Amino acid sequence: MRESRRPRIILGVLLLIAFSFIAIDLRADANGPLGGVKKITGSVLGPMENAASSFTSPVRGFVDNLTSGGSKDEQIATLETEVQRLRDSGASGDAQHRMTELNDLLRMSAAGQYRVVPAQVIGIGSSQGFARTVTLDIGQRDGISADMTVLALGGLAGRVVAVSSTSCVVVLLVDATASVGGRLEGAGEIGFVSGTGNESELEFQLLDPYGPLKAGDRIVTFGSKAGKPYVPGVPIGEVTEVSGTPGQLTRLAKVKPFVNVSTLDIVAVVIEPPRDNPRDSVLVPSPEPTSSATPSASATIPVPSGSPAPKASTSAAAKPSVSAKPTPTTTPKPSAKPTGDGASPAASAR
Amino acid sequence: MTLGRLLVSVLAVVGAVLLQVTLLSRLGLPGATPDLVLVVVLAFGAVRGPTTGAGVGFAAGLLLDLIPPSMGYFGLTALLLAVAGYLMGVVAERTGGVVAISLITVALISVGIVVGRAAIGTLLGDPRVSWGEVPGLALTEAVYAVILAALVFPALAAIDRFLEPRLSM
Repeated sequence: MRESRRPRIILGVLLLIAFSFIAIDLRADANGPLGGVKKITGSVLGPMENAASSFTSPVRGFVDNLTSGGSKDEQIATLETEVQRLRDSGASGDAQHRMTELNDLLRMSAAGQYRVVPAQVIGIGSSQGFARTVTLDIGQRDGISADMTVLALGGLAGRVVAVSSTSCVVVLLVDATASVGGRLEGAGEIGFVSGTGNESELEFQLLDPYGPLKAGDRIVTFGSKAGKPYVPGVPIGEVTEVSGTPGQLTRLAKVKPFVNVSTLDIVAVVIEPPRDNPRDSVLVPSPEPTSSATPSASATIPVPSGSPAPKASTSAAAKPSVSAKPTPTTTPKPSAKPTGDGASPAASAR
Repeated sequence: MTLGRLLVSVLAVVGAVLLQVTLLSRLGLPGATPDLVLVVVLAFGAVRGPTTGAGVGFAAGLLLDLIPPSMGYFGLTALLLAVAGYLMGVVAERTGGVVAISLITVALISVGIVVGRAAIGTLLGDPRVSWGEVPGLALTEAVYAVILAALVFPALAAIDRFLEPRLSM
């Protein structure tokens, strides 16, 4: 009898401990005891995650090639262009690809005059946990603090929510709890863009019930107070479907995000918001959607000729090593506290 | 439990957690992320019994709850994995480790983990839980888990036999 009771007692004790952890977590906020524990373990686990990530990156590349969609012909065409590009450059394929991606990303940051620190995704949360979050390989010592905007190729990726000394956690825009103030290109109509938990769909709610809204409209961030958590002018996505008629109390639209989060690798964290609102200047001028994640499509992002040369792009883009973490050249922290920004339209709408 | 066996469990859990966060979740496979950590916990339950299963599940769950970018409730994964390891151990003890029954149990526990996480999340008021996704997640989780279990279970059994030929079942 004793043999069969001992495991049950042990299980009972473990469950009790787990339940009390959950109870503590439910009541605590980020500054509570658990926040401290997570910060410390993050400093230990972050570097381990970083090392494991670089160790596993060849496997990821291999599987990506296998699973990337399209017909055989398309795959062959892609591979052929890849081979040609490699012959031309002589550099290793992965490094070359990432160089291009980083360059395009920095060009985009330059167009909006965002001062950024490039970073690399080193970990992603399991999808059965429902949260859409990633870990980056930069943290407090690189000048990162909570509520900073995270850019990826194409536009807005998310915002920083938790920081340890060498890593930080980003809640992606597609997460079901994410919400950002959005502005329609040109028109200036504003509303809220919310994540749905679905990687390829966002929801846009227009504030003005009679405002013009149609499929194909593009949305940029409205910008929060002091640029936290979202700086203005970052492309979010393109309206694909409008539901509800003009005059209805709420007008909703489906939005396809410009950033493809399933292939997120290199990102840039905005450590200093632009002095002037970049309005629509970060968007690609052509009416064609920029949603395709190919680097060639977004390589056409123009740098406004009149704008002052942004420091981030000139200093960081010149460095050949992509994985190197450029330290910010200035003291990046605006004086505003990273806590709540109740006045901003980017505050949670849920 | 000897030092060798303890070392094996620590290495297996830490390795599985790191692999899951940095590799498996980034492969972009359809549905759920292949839950290597769950399968490793189930393997310890099946090979070393319910007590070890529960203990390893609890520890692995805490690590998964702590490692960035985890955003869930701290302790929830520990709770689920402790129960999973315990159940697997009980089933393996009662049936003597028949392969077919073990794999069916793995599939059932995988479904239970996904549904259980969604249910507790809903009870606690997690705004992220979307029940529309649960059937697809549960199905893929079970498929991936059975495939991984077919590799991990024999591997752990072999390691334990190698470490202590007399003690293992």
